[in-house]
Amino acid sequence: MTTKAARRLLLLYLAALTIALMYPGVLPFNRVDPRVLGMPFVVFWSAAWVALGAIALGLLEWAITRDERAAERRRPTRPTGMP
Amino acid sequence: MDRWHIVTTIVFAYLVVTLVIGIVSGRRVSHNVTGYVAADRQFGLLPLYFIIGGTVFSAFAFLGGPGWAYSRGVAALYILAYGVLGMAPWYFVGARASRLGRLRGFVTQAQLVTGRFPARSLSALLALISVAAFVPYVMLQMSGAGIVFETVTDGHVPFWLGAALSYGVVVLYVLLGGAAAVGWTNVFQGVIMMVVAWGAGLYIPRLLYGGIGPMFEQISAARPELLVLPGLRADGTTWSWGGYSTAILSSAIGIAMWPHIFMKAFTARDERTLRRSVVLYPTFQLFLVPLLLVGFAGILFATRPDNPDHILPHLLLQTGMPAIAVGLFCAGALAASMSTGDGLLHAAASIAIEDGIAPFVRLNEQRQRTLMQVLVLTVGAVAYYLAIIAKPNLVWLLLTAYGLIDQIAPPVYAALYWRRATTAGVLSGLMAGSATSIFFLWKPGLRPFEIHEGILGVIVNVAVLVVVSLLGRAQPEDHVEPFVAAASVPVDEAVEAGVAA
Repeated sequence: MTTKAARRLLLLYLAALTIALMYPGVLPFNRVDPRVLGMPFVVFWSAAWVALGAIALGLLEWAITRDERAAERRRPTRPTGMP
Repeated sequence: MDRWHIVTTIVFAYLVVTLVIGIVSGRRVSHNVTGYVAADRQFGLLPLYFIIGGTVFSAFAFLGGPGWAYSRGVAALYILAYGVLGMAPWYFVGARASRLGRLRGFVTQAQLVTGRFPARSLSALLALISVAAFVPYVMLQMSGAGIVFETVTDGHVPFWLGAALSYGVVVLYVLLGGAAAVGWTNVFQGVIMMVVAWGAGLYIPRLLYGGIGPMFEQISAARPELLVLPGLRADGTTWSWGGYSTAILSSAIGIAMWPHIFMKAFTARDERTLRRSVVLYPTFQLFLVPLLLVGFAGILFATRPDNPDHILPHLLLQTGMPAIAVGLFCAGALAASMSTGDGLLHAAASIAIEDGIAPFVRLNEQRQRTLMQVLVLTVGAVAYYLAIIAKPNLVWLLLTAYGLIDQIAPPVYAALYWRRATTAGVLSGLMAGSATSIFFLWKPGLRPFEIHEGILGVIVNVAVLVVVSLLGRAQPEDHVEPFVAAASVPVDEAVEAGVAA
């Protein structure tokens, strides 16, 4: 995945979260059943979005780190000041 | 031996270990302002992860969170909902702040903002807002500690003594060790908080109901209104969607703008470390789920605490748990209180000196450090006095604080991202936004759709910032460009390109 795509994905995730956890986007999920891990669905729904955040952020960090490593390899070694 | 003896012994052991960690780690950093305020910018990923988690989650998460779930049902989910929304932008903003801090020597949020918008009045105003918001927040942490002590020792250690003991320890290590002590104790406290929250959250529902599933089955049969959003108000009536949704928004805007959290960007070893601590942050935040489960477990419990915020210690005592477990849980709640309170005291002193006094009076580094230590003591004493004597309505005070803290977001974003913003625009926006927020807090009935006053303030703040900036003359390009450029490229490239000046 390119860094640009990962960045878009994170922004998309944030927009989706804003809709999915607030009025009126949360209405279809504002229910007790089906229960997940014993919890009412709306509790699971809110927690799941938190966990998804780690994945969306993780993907972007992975892409950015890859770019930084590539840039380091391209850059000539810096002069140390010694002859 | 009575149970409270064992509990108190465990809690004392926790306090002693914390104090030792604080004092030892504080001795290893340099004796200048950067050492005291930003711990020589040396924190790696693991410490930063626990520092951010421990600082964000306070006594409110440990006592108020379960208290909300217990008395207001799923309304408490707002605490879960705003965290990632608030912290994810920090992946970008925090990294930029960290970079600029390294290049230009910033150690506080106001220094960053006035680095772009040079005005001493702006610096002083930001310092004033920060300290005004910190005092009620510290008071909340102190009374959290007092409540825990008093409840679990059956009143043998009264409220005032519990608060004095735990915050005596905090003041001591903040005085001696500064940011390094705050950081390394937060690592210890953060670990305890996580272990205790998950332990209590999985154990108590099983003990009382035979599991999480059976617990919610019973709640759903007896009190179904507690399991449907937007949940209830404190008085038991149904909350409004406007209130629920903007509680999420307001907290999301405010969370990373709290100056004591924002300043952690300057303590990171490098920006990659900072970014990764944000990536991992949601895994810390999930510990709210078991804490809320504890609150839900209290709903159908036979006895009720005097105050919903006491539900966690109440359950610990009434369910006849082993004293060792109770002691550990208390240590967890104290850790939550102290790991936020220490950051607040430290930041209040640092900001008051660096942003409130240093721009106006010439002080050498030694004097600044000494004055900060005097202020740690002063702020601690004032907050303690108010928490014990005045016993004010803390929730109300904390709400005021969030409304004000939200107003810091537009200046920070404008400094980093909007080239056309001007000093006059930022200053007038900040004043108008704060005034709006305070006005609607004073007259809550006038708020449209129960929208949080912080959000109303931000709307006015941004509008004034944009209009006044566009009406005035743009900042000179040779001032804006190096600043924004330094914020947007990695540090070594900026140094090579000569934009660090």
